[in-house]
Amino acid sequence: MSQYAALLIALPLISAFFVPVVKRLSRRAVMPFLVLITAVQTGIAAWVFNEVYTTGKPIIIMAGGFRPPVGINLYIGHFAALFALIIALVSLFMAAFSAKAITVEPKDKYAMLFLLLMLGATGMISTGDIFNLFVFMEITAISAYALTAYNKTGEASEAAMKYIILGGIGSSFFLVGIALIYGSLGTLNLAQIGLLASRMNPAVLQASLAMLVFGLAVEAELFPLNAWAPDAYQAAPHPVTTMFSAFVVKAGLYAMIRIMYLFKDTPAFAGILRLVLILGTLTVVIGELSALRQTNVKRMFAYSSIAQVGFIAVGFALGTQAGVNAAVFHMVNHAIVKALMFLAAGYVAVELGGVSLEDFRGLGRRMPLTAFSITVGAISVIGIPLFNVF
Amino acid sequence: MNISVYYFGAISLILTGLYAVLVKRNLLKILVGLSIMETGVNLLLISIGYIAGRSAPILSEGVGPNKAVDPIPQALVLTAIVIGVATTALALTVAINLYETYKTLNVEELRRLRG
Repeated sequence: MSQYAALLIALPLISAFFVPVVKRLSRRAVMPFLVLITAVQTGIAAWVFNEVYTTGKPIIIMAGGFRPPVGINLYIGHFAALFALIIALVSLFMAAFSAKAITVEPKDKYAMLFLLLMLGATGMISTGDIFNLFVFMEITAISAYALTAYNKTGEASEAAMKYIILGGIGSSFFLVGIALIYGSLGTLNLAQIGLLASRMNPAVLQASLAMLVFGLAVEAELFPLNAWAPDAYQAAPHPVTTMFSAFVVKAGLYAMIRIMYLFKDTPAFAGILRLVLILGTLTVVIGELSALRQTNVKRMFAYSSIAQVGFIAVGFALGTQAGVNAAVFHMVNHAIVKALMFLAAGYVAVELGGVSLEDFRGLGRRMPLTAFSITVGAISVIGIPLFNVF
Repeated sequence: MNISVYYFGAISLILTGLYAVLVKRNLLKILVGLSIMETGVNLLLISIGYIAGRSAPILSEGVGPNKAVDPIPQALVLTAIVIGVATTALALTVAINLYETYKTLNVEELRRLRG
């Protein structure tokens, strides 16, 4: 029964390839189709979530019936189930929002990339195989590049180009890291790597971990590698910006942390924790300081979101149970709040035609409900008690 | 031949590519640099699975499991090549878009034009 959880991956993949067929039938059916698929995905994710939390056992799916470590497996534990649900929910809202916000043709390509982005992020958090992780990372990255450039303006193309170059370097380094690990342990299964980790030569281990962290830090927008983020957030279509902030970045961060914690018992672990701690702290400081200077609201939120990701990374890198719990909690909260903020800002942009601070003047009178939701989001981002980010 | 030759070649390819990405001004050269980097990584993966004196892991006459090299890195490289092609194609389309908008591929001028 639990094998049906593989639909989490299979459904968006197969429906992405059915988008052109739907377009053939009726041009107008593309967006409702997108909403329908994301709704079904949400249903499946909710069922998986329920299953995992009532039985208390993770769902493990073996692709093609091969037992790990030979075959590729999916590992949906407590956190992955929760996060798959969040991804599906945010995607559902964004799909509904896209129907209104996306005016540039070709919409069918948009729907396809949208589904692939959702698929990639879901795959990244649920896979149990390090090379499979790389593949899902690339699926996410390529659809993210394309969606960034979707508006076809010069600005969007430039942001996408920046993202492609940084992402390309990152993925090459990630692959080198995989090569080093495979070369010394002879396995690609995450659980088995964890078991065998202490047998690795410490120098090789440290080098490969550094490569893997570097590769994923591009996706997770940690400080020296996050130059793409503000441009991409600003230039991408509004629903896509929300998806980036709410789960694409989190999936990268989660993958990074999961790989790091596999090597918990080795001498390299302390060094790598310190590295991530420093990167995270720098990310927070630089993100928040840059957010102050911005006049474009989307760009401001982008910097704020970078800083929040830095906070999450710091929480994970503390290396204690409390730190990890806090980081996971913050991750969930941030996904919800930032989705709200970007959604509200995007809605304002669609209605009023701009996202600079001037466009927001008098918002309370013109769009009271939207203004209210931005206020709620902002209050909770600054951490007033009783709101969830506190 | 000693296996370290392959490692050396792969790593120098990666570094050459990285140099091109970081130093060159022309967008196309940067993209070529990225491709060179990817090639280097692929070569590294392949040479990790290489066992001296064995042939390609294809089941055919006279080639059994104990006469072939490790097939997993080759499968990985196959996937990585496909991903690399997709990335390169996408990057080139974006570069065409950029050129049509700004009439230049020089990275510094692009930055200036955008202001």
